[in-house]
Amino acid sequence: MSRKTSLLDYNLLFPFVLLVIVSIVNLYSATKGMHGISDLFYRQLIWFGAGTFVMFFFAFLDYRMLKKLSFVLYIITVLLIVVTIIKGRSAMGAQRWLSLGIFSFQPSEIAKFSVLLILANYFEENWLERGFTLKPLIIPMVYILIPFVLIIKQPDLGTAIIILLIGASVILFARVKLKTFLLFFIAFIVIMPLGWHFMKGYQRARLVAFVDPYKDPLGSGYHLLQSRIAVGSGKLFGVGYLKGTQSHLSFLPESHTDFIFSVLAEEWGFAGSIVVIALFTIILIEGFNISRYAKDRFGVMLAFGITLSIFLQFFINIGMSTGILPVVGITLPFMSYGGTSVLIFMMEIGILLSINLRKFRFEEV
Amino acid sequence: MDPVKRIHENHLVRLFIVYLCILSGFTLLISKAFYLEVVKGRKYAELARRQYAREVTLLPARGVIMDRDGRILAQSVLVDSFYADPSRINNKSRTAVVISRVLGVDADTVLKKLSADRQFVWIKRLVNPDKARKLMHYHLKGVYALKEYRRFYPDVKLASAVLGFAGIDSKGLAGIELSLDHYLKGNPLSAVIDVDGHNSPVYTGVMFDDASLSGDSVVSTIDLNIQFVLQEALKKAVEDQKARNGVGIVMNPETGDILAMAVIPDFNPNTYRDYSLSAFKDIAVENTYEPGSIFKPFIVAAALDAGVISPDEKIFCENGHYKVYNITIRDAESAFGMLSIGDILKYSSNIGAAKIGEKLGPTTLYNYLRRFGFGSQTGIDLPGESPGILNPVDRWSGVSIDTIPFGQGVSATPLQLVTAMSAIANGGLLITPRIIKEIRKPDGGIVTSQPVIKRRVISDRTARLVTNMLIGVVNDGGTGTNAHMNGYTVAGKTGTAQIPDPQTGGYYGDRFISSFLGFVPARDPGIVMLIMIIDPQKNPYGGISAAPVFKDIAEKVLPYLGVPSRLNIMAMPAEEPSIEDLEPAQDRATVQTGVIPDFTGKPMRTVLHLAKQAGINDLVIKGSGYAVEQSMKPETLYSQGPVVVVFSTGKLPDSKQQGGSKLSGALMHSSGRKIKHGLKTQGPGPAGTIKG
Repeated sequence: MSRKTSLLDYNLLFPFVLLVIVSIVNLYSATKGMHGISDLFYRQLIWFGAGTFVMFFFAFLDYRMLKKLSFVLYIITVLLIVVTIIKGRSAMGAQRWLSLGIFSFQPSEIAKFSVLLILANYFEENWLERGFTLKPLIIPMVYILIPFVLIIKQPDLGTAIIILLIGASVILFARVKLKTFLLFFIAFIVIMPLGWHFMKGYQRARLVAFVDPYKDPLGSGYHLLQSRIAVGSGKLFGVGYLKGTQSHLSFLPESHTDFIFSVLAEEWGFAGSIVVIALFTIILIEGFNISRYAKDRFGVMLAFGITLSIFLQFFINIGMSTGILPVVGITLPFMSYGGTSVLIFMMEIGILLSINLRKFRFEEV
Repeated sequence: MDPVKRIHENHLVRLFIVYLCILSGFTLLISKAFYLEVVKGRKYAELARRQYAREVTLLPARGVIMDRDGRILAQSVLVDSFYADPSRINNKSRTAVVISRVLGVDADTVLKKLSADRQFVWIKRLVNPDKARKLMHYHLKGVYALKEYRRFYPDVKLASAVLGFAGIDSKGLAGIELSLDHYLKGNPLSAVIDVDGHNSPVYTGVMFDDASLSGDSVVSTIDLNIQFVLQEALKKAVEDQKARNGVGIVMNPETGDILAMAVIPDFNPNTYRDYSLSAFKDIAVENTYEPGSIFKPFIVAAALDAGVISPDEKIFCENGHYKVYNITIRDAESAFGMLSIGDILKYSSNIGAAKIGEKLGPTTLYNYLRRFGFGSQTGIDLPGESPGILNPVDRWSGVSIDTIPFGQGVSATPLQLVTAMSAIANGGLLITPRIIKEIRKPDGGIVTSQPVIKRRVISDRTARLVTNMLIGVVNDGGTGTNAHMNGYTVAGKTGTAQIPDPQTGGYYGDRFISSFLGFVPARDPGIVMLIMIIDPQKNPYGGISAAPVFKDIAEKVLPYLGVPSRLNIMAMPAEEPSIEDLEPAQDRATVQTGVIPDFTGKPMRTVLHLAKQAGINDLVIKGSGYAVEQSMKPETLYSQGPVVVVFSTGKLPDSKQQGGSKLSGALMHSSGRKIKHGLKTQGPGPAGTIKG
C-alpha cells in the first residue's frame, strides 16, 4: 500500500488539494450571511470529508472493476431520473432532487458519470481500430439519448447538454470515419434550429439576454449583469475577503452554486481568478496525461471522459460567470456547493488516480 | 507492436486536439477575466457601488411634548422591531406559528414572508415591549430584533385633538405634532448605508441615538388635570345628549394660555391607523360655526364702547315679532316689550340684539367685530386654523345688520369666541391664544413664549359693564342659571344656534348647537370657558345642555387653580352691583395722579386701571396673574420712563399651596376611575406611564 501511495499522481493530487482549499475558503464567504455562517458551509465540509474517503477508495480500487458495474449503474441511474421526474421535489422550478429521507441528491449528476462509464466500456468491448461508422455507433447513441431526453424533461437543459457533449466527445475521441463525421455534422446543423422550438420560455429568454442583457436588466438579464458586475468590480486584487458586496448583499443570485466563481473573482480579483483557472488547467492537463498513458483502452476512454466532463463544466461555468457563454445551470466542479457533485467529482479524481496507478503492470511483478 | 503503445498512438492526434482545446479554453477565460477585471474593473466597481450604496436620512429621537407642569403627553421610546433571515430558519412553519401566537399576526402571512428567498424580511415593526419580551423568550433561530423609535402617548385619548400624532419616520401629522414638527423632529443625519439586492437596508450597527441631535421638547400650555376634567365632562355631556360632537376650551384670559382644549369624539393617537382622517380634525380651531346667541355680548360691548347706547337705556323688543325686509325676527321663549340692555342679554332677545345692531350701523359693527378678532386667525400654534367668516360690509345682505347681532350670517371658530370673550374678561384686551409655553433645546436652552397682547378692543369700563350684564345672565330668571356657582360669580352667555342647511340655504328645524361661553370669577377671571354641544338630540338649549357642564368643570378647576372662593373668605359682594360699584374702592382711595401706586398683590386689570389713573402711560407688563414686583417704589413721584410690573403665575402666593392640596379634592368629586387616572398622570416616572 505504501508503495502505491508513493506512486499516486502528485501532479494531479497537489493542485487538486490546493483547489479544494481555495474552494472551502471561498465557500465560507459565499455562504456567510448577515447572521453568521450558514449550515450549508458545514454540510459542504462533511461532503468534502466523505469525498476524500471516496476518492482514496477508488484510487486504490482497480478501476477495471467498474467495467462490470457500468451497465447496472447505467440502468439504476436511468431509473432514478425517472423516479425524480415523477416524484422529485421542486427546486428552482426544476425536478432535480431525489429525497432519500435525511438527504437528497441529484441523479442527473450521477448520469454524467454513468454515461461516460458505459461508453468507455462499450468502446473497449467493441473496438474498431480503423474508426467507427454510423451502425456500430447506434448503441452508444442510444446510451446517450435516453438520459439526455429524460434530463431535458426534468427540465435541466444544462446537464442534458453536458451529457450530450460528453457523449459526442467520447465518440469522436474513439475515432469516427470522415463520412460519418460529416453526416453527424450536417445532422447537427439541421437539428440546431429545431432545438429552439423545444426550449422553454425562460431558456430562450436567457439566450436573448446573453446577446443583450440590458434588454431586461432586472429579469432575464439580471444574473448575467450581476455576475459581470461582481467579477469586474474585483479589479486586479479584489475587494477583499468577506467584503464582496455583490454576494453578501444578495445582488448575486445563486452565489454559492452557479455563480461561485463570481464570488471569488469579486473578493480576490484578477489575481484570484488566474489562480483558480490555472489550477483547473493543470488538473485537466494531468487528467489527459493519465488518459494518454493508461494501460488499456477502458482506462484511456474512462480517463478521457472524466477529464473532459470536468473541462466542460469548468469552461461553461466560468464562461457563463464572465459572460462568454449564456446562463445555463452548470456548477463549477469542486467549487460550487452541492453534495452529489462533490462526491461524484472526487470519485472521478480517485478513478483518475487509480488509472494512473495501474499504468504499469504491477500484477506481473 | 506493444498493445499499450498502439492504443496511445491511435489516440495521439485527437489527444493533441484536446490539449489545444484546454489551452485555448484557458486563454479565453483568462482574457475575458482580464478584460472584465482589469480593463473594465473601474466601471464595474462603480456599478456595484451604485447598487448597494443608498443615501438615507437617519432620524433622531423625536422631542417630548409636555403639559405646562412637565407631565409627559407624547414621548418617543425605543422599542423592538422584528425581522427574520429566512435562510437561517429550519422549521419555518413552527417559527411562523410561534410568531403568530405571540404577536397576534396572521400565521400564513408570516410563513409566506419566512419562505422568501432573501436574508431580510420585516415580521412586525414597533412591537409592544411585553409582547417583544415574550417573543424573545423563544429564542427563535433566524428571528432578530432591532430598536426603532415609537411614539407613545401615555395618556391615550387625553388632549388628542391638541396633540395630534406623529406617523412613521417621525412625521408630525396633526395637532402640535404637526405645527411644531420642525422643533420636535430634531436634526436628521444624512448617511450612506448599504442595501441588499432586494433594496432592504442592511443594519450593521446600533441605531442612531445621538441625544444632542434629538428633537426639542415642547412644553404646552395645557394643564393635564384641567384637560382631564374638561374632556371627561364634555364626553359625558355629548353622550348624555346623544350629540354629534362636543368642543370645550379653557383659557387664561390674562395670558391667553389654553389650559385645556377638548374635542369629542376624541381618538387614541397610539393607534391612529384605526381612525379615518376626519377623526383628527381639531374642530375647535379648524371648523367654524354660526355662534348664535353667544355672539350677543360682543354686539352689546361694541355698542356701549361706541356710545350708541347707554348702559341704562331700554329698547322696545316688539313683543316678539320684528319684521325686517323679508324676514321676521322672533324671540324664542316669550314676547318682550321694553327691555334694558342687560335684560336683552339676560333673556337673550334676538330682536333687542338686532335693534342694537341697527344703532351701531354696519361699518361700526363690522369694525368692532374685526377688533374682537372675528374674520381673522387668532394665530395659535395649531395647524389648519380657520379665520371664520365675517363678510365685509359691501357683501352684507339687507338683513345682515339684524341677524349678525344674534349670531347668524357670521361664523367663527370656537377658539375665536373664547379669545373674544377673554377680551371682555380681561378688561378689553385682545390676546393671542397660546398653546406653547416653552421650547426646550437638547443642550438645555429654553425658549419661552411670551403672552402677546394684540390690541385694545373695548375700554376697561365697557368690559366691566358687559361683565355685569353677563353676571345677570347666570342669575335668577336668566337663560344661564344652570351655570350659577356657589362661591364664585359666573359671567356668561348661553347660545342655541340653528345649524344652517346647505341644501336650502336656510336652517334645519331640528338641529342646533348648544353652547355656553363665560368666565369665572366674573370680576377677576381665572378662566374663560366655552362649552359647545353640537347637534344634541335631547335638549337644544345651551342653558340646559351646556351651562351645567360649564359649572361642573369650573367647580373642579377653580379650587385646583387656587382661585379663592367667596364661601371661604366670607366676603360676599352684592349679587347685582349697581353701576356706581363698578369703580373699585381702592382705585378711588389711593391713586393720585403722578404718584406710583402700590401694584403688588393686585390682578392685571386692576394694575392697568391704577396705572391709567396715576397717569402712567409707559407700563411694561411681565408674566401674568398677580403683581409681585414693580420697578418703581410705591408712593414715589412718577416723572417719566417705563414702569415694569412683574406678575406671578396667576395664583396668589398664599393661595398657591392651598391650590395644590385642592387638586386631589377636586378630582375626588369624580368617579374612582378618574381618581386613578389623576394619580397616574401625576406620576413622574416614565416607566409607569408608558403603555401600548
